[in-house]
Amino acid sequence: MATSPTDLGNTVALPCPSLPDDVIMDIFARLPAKFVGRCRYLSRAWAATLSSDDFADRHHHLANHRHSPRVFFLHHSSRDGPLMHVWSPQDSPNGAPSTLYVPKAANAERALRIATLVCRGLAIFQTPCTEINYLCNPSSGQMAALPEHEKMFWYQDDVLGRHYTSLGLGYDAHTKKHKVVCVYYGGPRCDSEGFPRFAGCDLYVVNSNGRWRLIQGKPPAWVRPNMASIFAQGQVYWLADRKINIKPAEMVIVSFSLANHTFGTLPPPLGMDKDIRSLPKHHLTKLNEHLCFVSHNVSNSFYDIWLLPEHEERVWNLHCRLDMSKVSPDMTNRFVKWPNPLVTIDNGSRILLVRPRSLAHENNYSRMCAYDPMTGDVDDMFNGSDMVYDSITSTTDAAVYEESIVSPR
Amino acid sequence: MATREAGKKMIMLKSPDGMEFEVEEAVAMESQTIRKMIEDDCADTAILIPNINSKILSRVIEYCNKHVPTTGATGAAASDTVAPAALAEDLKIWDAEFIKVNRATRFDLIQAASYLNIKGLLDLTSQTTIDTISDNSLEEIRSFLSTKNDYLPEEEQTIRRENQWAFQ
Repeated sequence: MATSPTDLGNTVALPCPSLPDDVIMDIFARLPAKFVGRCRYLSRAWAATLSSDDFADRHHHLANHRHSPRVFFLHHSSRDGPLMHVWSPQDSPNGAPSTLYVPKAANAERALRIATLVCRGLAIFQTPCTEINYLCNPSSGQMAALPEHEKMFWYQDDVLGRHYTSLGLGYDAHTKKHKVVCVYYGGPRCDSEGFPRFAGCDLYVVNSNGRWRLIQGKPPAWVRPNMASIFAQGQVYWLADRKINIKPAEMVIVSFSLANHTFGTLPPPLGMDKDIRSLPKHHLTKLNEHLCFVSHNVSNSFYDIWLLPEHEERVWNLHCRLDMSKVSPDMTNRFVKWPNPLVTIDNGSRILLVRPRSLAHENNYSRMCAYDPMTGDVDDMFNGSDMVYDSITSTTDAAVYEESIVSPR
Repeated sequence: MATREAGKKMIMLKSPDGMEFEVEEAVAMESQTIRKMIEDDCADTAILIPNINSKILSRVIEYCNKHVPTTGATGAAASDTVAPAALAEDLKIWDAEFIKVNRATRFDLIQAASYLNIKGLLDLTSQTTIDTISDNSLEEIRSFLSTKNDYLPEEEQTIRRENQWAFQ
């Protein structure tokens, strides 16, 4: 066996041709996205290898699986504009999050918000003032504006009609492409039955030099304006109302298949479709790759987290039930804001919950806690007295972070 | 070397340089490659491990011995239950000591872990390698990979521009 000097310190790496390319690729697949980007500069051959679909798959798997889940959020500093922060219960328990970088986008220095959760490395960011939508890779910091969409309506509900748009971002595992779905409603409010009359859907395929193109078929219900869509298991989901202006109200979940480009509907858990009084107290999110329905049951002070194990089965499982009476009132003050489950930690035994800060109430801070459904114990991870956390004011302001080398262009 | 214990099935592993290692089946099955051979009934009395010399194989076995899920009083594997934090911490310290080897040995361990498909060992050795290269300059990584910068100057500029995000 050849001997070589030890490199336990910071000794310069010596040539070592003994590792097969395949093994080296697996080593590089564990590196942060930015580092991989730099390595494209090594040589032509390495640039090609590190840009391949095969490498992207390995990287997505290996660069994320060793870390405990990480959470990112945008903090708006008055001096620097939006700053990206990453926090993990393992690397910085009770500690300050690390600043990643300042996302750069035209006209986006002041206001930028996370419009969708991260879907295989990409998320949609929005500038609320100008309604410009960006695709962003939070781990590399790359941003690209989505092509303009002629039907990108401001929300408007008046005599002229009910106009609005909602975006969804998903990943098609067959074509290995991200797709952005835009559902829009424009024109007279509804037909006599309360169903949408002028609704449609356009699709944009990322990284294919494409444009928005019309999809046959239209959304079968009114997706809730200003509520984030969720991508899970090949489908984009929206919380929606079957009809408007017609009683009884019926809540449904609209799904859009990234593979077939077809819409469908799904009932919410356990008769909640008729529970109109609590309509605003539900929302969708994603928990461990599954669609998650969060319901805030005010009357019996329970906070339920439901998961959809399989899209085709259409059956919800109650993942856990938070008994508000056992949790600190500060965390569950329903008059301020409700908590949102982000991800499970500690091998699935605890759930990370974030409660956004309410802009309407003084002296409340955003909060993050780890909840143990078995014991009911709640551990504070941070409370938002630190300025950085102040920016978490809505359920989408904090999201699960992923390393990815996918380009948003 | 492992000694035979009552009730525990033993497997013989042979290195190409003629050394033999008797290990518990459960320890050997930390390797997904060996596990598959055993499950497919391809393993008779002894398994020859090609390309891995006795020095490296003994270290691999040492790793597997430490990482094999502990068996409870009933003899049932306890791998499904969450290891107590103290145990995990102990393993982490042990791993850190284990991987204090020179680079040639570490690369041999990576290859062995890759061939034998031992996920934990591959993670450990790869991560250690990353920690030693991720602070290096591109030139040092080129030398690590024995690769040459073959870009023309103008190409180099284009690549820089396209991947500017990576340098920010």
